[in-house]
Amino acid sequence: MESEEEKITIVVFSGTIDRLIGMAILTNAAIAMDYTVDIFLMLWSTYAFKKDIIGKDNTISEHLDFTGDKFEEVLKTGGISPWYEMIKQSREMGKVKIHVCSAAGKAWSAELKDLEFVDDFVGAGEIVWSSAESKTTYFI
Amino acid sequence: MNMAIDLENMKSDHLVDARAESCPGPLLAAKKAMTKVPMDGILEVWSSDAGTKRDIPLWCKKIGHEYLGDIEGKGYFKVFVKRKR
Repeated sequence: MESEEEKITIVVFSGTIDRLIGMAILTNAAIAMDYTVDIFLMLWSTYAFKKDIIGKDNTISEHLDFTGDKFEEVLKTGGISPWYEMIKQSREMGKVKIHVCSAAGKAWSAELKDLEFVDDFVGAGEIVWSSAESKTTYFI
Repeated sequence: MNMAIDLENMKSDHLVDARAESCPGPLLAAKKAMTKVPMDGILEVWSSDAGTKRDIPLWCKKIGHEYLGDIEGKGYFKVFVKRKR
């Protein structure tokens, strides 16, 4: 198999910026290494990709005494770009497909036009299939 | 580091200054810049991110480029890669 066809699957459940940054960094690195990436958005990550939410919600999931604003300062100190800018860059540089769990889309009453970067809606069977076909699957 | 190669006096075909980038920015910058390097040409990457020294040899192994090694600069390091594909 050509290296360009080697695939990594990332299943993203969380929608908080500390975890979305993890997703974005791994995607960036995978693209740099010439892997193709399939990202599957589940419940909370689908919410985070909504056009009316993306870039506006800086909630973090852990260290709850740490405010989102304080966390953004930490990221700025580290020179770490916002997660959605990294995803945009990854999609420009490589093969990154972003899929939404159809149930999650339904739960948020979100159509494709309501979601940033998203390519399509998929069923859970395709998520399982993609994971089985990938070299590696990350769950975030 | 390949001791047989004089990296201090290495002439690169293309230089990427990624010292302002956090991981994996320098790696992405290297990938992007390699398209500007002729076959068997040398790409030089400057980075202050510790992860880059480990990522770039792995990237070379994955893609098929030749990792030539790295040398320390002042607060950063220089990584040299030969384009092989």
